[in-house]
Amino acid sequence: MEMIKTVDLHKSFGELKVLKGVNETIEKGEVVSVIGPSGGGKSTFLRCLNLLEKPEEGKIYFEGTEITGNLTKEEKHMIREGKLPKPAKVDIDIHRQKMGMVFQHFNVFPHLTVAKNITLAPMMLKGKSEAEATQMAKDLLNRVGLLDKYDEMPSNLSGGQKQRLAIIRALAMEPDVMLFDEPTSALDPEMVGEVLDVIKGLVSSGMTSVIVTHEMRFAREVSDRVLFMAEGNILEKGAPDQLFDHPTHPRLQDFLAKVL
Amino acid sequence: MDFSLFLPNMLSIWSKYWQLFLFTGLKNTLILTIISVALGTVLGTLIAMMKMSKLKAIRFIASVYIEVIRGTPILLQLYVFYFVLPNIFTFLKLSQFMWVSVSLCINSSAYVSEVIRSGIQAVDKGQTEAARSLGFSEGQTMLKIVLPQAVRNILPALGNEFIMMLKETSLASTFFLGDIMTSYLVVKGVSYLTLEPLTIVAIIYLCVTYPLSKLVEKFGKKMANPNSYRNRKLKAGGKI
Amino acid sequence: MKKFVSLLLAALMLASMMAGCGAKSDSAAKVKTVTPGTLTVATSPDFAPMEFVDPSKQGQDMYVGFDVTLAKHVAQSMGLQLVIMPMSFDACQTAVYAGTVDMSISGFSWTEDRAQNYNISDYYHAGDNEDEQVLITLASNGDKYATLDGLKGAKIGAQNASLQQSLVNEQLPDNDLTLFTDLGTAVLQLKNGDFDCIAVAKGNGDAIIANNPEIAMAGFNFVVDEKYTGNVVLLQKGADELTAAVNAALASSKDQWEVWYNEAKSISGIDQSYDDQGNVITG
Repeated sequence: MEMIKTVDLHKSFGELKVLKGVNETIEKGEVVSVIGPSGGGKSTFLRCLNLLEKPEEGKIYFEGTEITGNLTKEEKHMIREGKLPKPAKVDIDIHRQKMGMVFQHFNVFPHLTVAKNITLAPMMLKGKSEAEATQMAKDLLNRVGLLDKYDEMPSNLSGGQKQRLAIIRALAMEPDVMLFDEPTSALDPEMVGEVLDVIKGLVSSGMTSVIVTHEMRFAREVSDRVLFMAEGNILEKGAPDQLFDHPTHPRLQDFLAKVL
Repeated sequence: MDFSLFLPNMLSIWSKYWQLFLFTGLKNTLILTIISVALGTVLGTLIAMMKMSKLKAIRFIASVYIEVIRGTPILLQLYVFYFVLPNIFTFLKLSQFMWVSVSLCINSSAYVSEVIRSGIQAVDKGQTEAARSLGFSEGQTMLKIVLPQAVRNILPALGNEFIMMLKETSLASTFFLGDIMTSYLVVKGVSYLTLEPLTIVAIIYLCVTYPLSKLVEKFGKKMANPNSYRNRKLKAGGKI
Repeated sequence: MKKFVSLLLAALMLASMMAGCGAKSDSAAKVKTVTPGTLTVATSPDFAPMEFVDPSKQGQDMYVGFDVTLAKHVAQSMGLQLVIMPMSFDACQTAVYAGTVDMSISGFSWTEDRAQNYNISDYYHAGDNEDEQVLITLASNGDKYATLDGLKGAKIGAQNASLQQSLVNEQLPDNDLTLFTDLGTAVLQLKNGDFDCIAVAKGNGDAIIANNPEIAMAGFNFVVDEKYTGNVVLLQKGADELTAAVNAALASSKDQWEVWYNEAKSISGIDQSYDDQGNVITG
């Protein structure tokens, strides 16, 4: 079953074309890593998936629903002629509740306690009772080994702890898919492991995940599939062993030679 | 210059006019300042919202407002409000004191709006992104995530604005509105002594501004410490 | 900058006056005033004994001095209620120009520029003092500046756009003239050595000396031309009816001026009394 499908995705920042027609389908339960050089469009692609960046052209289907509201030329034409009904406005906030996102810089809420960071969204957006949300927060904190930080302010957490908090904050919304945007890039080396372990545990439980990462060994270990993005498009994709051991595209060969 | 008479003169002026300086002057200065900053903050918040509006026309109006007010001398604004606007808005039966207050309030609002806007914009963009990615709407994000964090950028700056305004209100003496500087003019007018009453005025201003600025400084430091979020909540008796 | 500001202000004034005109023209009763039933007068009450504040009083009652008494008389003679609007000397002229007030009575002297831009009343005399224009200097200078010879090279201060400015220009053309806007500050500058002498009306000089024992008369009196003697009331250009009413009120009160002036002088000396030479009487 398709979880996310992108069709001919285009995105530019001013003159700079960052995505040049990306087509990709992510199946339910699949763990997909996105690798590639900086500026190749990996992060932008990921941020387009939950519309933190709005693609100018192309479509994104999330669990079968088109969420960009973008129309092709033919569709516009047909609507003008009355052959196609005007599409209903998409409420992206509803869809985002089902897409958890983890950022490079954690972005935990510094003015809320660790517990509140987790419970705020489920209580406000999903109508969970305080008891329900609190119990969930405790379970999640326990799962990532942060239960003793329940009452702390985020400023008392280390980088790795903050990122673990950010991950369970997203999980508290019980999402269908998790998007990771370079989750370990901003961490001190000794903290990378603890965060990767949490992600590993998560994907092994069957959570559909898209992970933009520079950790090649990690990508190879956890992914079902790896996408190599450069120059605004997916240049090569496949199973990790095949992609890492037998790269065919010269850009990928070049990239791997540099990073491995 | 002969300073031997300075201290005796100052003391005799103080003993004769201390009530004028404190009960009339200081009182009116504080009233003017509180009115201008309080209303200026309400109006300034509105202008800040307009400045961040999605609609270009509204942003433009806010920009013009801010630029005109910040780009012209406050004395000129006072003249316009005192002499020109009452002639145009003849239906508004405002007292002279109110016209000057309105002028100072509008002046303050332009500065406050920039304080609020920069306070909001100083909140890391990642905070908005994180909140939106969880499914919060724009309004919820502003209310629950951005504003609580912006407040700690804004409050110390508002304190400074209050101190600034406290001094700016001295321009109200142009129209003898009874502030501290008016007290000086009154005393000068009968005694033809200048430096002595001015020194008294300076001491009164300092007695107010110095503790205030220390307070703002202390408050600002406390706000800069993220743990203060929690301390404030604990003090307020709230649950964490 | 200042020029730009005044230009801008003038433009705004013009706009406001146009807006105001329509409203005013329909009440063409006997004499139009800004607020019907009241006479609004601007004055700068930091200039004893002409106009100053009695801090022991409240509201309108606290404005006292010769000009305030005169304003009361003018209002009374027109059957109007007097409202004093206090403001700085500069603002007084703006207020008349903008039509915020009916007139300004604030110790104005006649000048060419004022006559061009405003309606000017007949002269009035605050006692004998405006007739005498003098130089004051530090008491320690003795009679050094009493003569034209002694004054050679002396730095002289006079209020901007004042009668004294014209007098210095006219009668002491070779001296270095510095203009100031505030007499109180000028006194300080005199003590500080920025000026050797200040040109003032004798009445002001007396009040200054009374409070500043280190200052004294220089012993030099200006020759005062007839057109300069006395003060005038400033009215909006074209307010001819009002000007006529003021002139009538002035004519009818001539014999009381001396009394008013002495009253004002004694109120301004509530805290101190001085003898004929202007020395403070102690004990």
